[in-house]
Amino acid sequence: MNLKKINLPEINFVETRKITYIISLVLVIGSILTILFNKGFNLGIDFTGGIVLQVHFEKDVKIEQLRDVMNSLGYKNAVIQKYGTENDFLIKVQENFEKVQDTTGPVVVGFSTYPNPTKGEKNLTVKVKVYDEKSPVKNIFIRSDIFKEIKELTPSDIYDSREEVGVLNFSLDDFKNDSLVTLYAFGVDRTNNKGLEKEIKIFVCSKNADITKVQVVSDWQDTTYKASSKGVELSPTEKIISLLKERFIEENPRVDREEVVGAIMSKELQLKSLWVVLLGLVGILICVWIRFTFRFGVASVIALFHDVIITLGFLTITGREMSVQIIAALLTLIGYSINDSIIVSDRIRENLKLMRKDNFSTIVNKSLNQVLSRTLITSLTTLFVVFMLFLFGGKVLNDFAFALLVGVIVGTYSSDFIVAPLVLDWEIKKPSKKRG
Amino acid sequence: MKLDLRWRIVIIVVVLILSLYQLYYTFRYYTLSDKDKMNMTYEQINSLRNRSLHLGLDLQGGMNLILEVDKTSLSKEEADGAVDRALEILKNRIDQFGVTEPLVEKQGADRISIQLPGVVDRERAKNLIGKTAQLEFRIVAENTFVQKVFENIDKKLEEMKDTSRISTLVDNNGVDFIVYPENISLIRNILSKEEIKSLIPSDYIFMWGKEKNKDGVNQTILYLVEKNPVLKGDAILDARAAIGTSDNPYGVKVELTMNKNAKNKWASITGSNIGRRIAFSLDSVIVSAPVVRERIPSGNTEISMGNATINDAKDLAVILKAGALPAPVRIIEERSVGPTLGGDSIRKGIRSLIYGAIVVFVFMLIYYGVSGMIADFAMIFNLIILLSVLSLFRATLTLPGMAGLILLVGTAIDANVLIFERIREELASGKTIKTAISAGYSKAFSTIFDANLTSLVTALILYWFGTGPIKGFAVTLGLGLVVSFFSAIFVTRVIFDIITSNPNFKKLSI
Repeated sequence: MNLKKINLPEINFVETRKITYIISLVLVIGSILTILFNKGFNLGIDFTGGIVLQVHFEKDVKIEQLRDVMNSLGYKNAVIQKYGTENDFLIKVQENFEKVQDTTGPVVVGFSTYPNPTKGEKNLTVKVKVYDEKSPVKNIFIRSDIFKEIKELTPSDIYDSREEVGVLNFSLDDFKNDSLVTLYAFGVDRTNNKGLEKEIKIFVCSKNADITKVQVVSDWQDTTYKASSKGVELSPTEKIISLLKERFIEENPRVDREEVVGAIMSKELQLKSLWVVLLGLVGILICVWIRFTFRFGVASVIALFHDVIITLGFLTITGREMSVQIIAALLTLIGYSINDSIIVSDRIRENLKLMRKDNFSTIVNKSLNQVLSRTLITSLTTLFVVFMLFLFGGKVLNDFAFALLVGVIVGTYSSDFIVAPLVLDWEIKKPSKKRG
Repeated sequence: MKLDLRWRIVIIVVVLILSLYQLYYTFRYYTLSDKDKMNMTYEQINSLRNRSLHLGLDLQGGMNLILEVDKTSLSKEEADGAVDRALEILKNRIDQFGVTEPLVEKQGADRISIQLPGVVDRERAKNLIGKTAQLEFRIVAENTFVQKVFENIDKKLEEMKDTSRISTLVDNNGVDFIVYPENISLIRNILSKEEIKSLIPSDYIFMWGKEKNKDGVNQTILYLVEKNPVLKGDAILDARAAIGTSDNPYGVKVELTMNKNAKNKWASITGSNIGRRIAFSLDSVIVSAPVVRERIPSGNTEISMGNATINDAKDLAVILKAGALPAPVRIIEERSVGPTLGGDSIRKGIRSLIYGAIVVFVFMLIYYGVSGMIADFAMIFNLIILLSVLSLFRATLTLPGMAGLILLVGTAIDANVLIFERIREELASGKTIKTAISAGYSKAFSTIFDANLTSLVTALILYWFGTGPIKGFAVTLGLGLVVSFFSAIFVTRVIFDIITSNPNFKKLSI
């Protein structure tokens, strides 16, 4: 069969390297600029937190109708798009549904004195109610000029620990006759955030060692708040799903996919992703260093950076979203795209022993030409399957397949045109003591 | 090093037979018809399932939750072991939930991952998992007392020139103070006024019941109860759902058994409060307020649940028995996939696998001739062994895992490409077929080894990085590389040796 031997033209890699360097540099800078102009990657909910719902309807539904539903729930920023077929939709809300950190303390929402004497009382009880949206309340305090230290109120109501009522008893000794007392109440939550102090003025009248009248002077506005229930808060997807089922009875929505990613997870994943990619690169560096030389290791890792950056650039320019899958694809890419570099390096290593008289650049060039066809073929077989995955693998795997598609092409190119030339340049600049 | 050809053939045949045998379970399990399942015992189906390839939640459908135990509200002593305790409690609850093969496991220091395969009632699952279930028992104020409080409130409202009256907003049927939905916020509003609050005796509080539907009308009961609970959830030793209450033979109930310490207290509380009502609340919502009929000395108590379903009773019993979670838990990640999408993903995955394999196989055949066919055969062999190893190790095949399988068809064949190219080179340099093959294999080996090593390293890192689906990808990729080593190098070599051992063999098609 004539097909069997594709006669590749002899390429002078040593000469082409200046051109390929420029091409690569342009691509890398272009990718970085693309990413910068785009103000970073298009982060999916894996990285930003939020929800994704994939809903199938049995009858036609218009995007506007879904937009209405989302608007009525207050998700003005929801992204709604057709997904695959006419009746499949992807609803996406990128919003943090839980705050990562609680930085605000409890709010003083209520204050009362008890009892409100009409005849006369020896003691006066004041209650302070505080509410914290995020963390349980730990303590409630009152300070005032009339007593020396800050008084801790015993929280009494523990039905919802985010809402606490503190009770403090005063005896008449604490007050002078007919005095206007200024109290400052504040709460502290379990993460030790101190809330704002609320100034409360009370007017206390006393007669014959009895308190006869107590009046809260501050124009007190009862802050309205909604108490949140303890336990697990249902994710907003429940609200969306139930409203969809209510609005589209005929169309009978079916939720095919539901993803809720909390802020904690997404923040963590951002960091972890960076680490995992770097770790992958370091792992490769060490592998190549041990099996070949340090220089090959460094050159390979530079090429891998190049591959990853260009792939990211392509992902950004095509508007694809960063997800856990993309990170997996990038790491796969790192592990795979190094293969061609290894084929090249291996041949150079071998030829260094065989062609002792030739100089380094001749060896590099010869080696590259010898293995060019096999680096192309190995990449080609991989491209075949990745392309099939891209075409037929379905929506969920599409971004993954795309990343690999770009990555494998760029990776093959960089293995042939970047790695060995880099080592060559290094050798020219600073000849290694031992050859290789 | 070089084993006798005959032995190597034996090894291959044995591996193939074992793999096919292992895969038979998978084949059998996934082709079982409903009728077959009817005729099998649970144990039979279960053992079949255990031996077959497991599908990830993204392929078979299901729900995956990651919970975080919020330890901020715990003291240092309490925080120790809180996660483990939560884990045990959640396991208990999930076991009652009734899905096959749920998986509840600790993840990191204070996280718990829950996997519920199959069709899941998501809301019910989340409720059951997440309930902190603070169970408290409180004595309910007597109606005359409540009415007096209402009167005081109304008087105050009149003073305040407020036109609303609490006694008209509440419907007293002689037993309960019923509030209809439209009045709830009005009453909440009244009760939250500072002037009104001071009228409520300090050791009592108002608490709301659960909204119920009675004769087509939604209603909520308002209770005035003693502020300090007489008993808390830790008093419960056991709780069971049962049917048949004292006043309704079909009524659903939960039977409680109190622990030793609580028993005596309960006996004295019930003894001194006969005829009065004791409300029990879950997470500060009153579930019901049964009348104490007699002193309960044994601690065995029955909570009738009115017209609730037996599932409600079961869920309640589970929550009561398993105890309250030691700390609030938060769902920090949730991923559910419906069975339709899962099935669709499987079909698409298999389709791309077949198309990808066909293209690669045809390419190899055209480019390398008979040798290419040998590589193709090795690849099929590779897939069979890999799938059987996956099922043997009880690994889970996820959607990215399927992508890994597909990818493997393209990457694992690389080993053969490298070998064949090498053999071509050796042949070109004038070596005999046998020596060329031998040299090709031995010289390509280090390249293949290094290349696979790097891929293996990244697969390991991915395994560490990923959860669920991505882990599945890493496992498939990693195991696939190891297996491909065997098939692409060992198996193809044996086939070459068989071919070349034929004395009539003249020309190698490569």
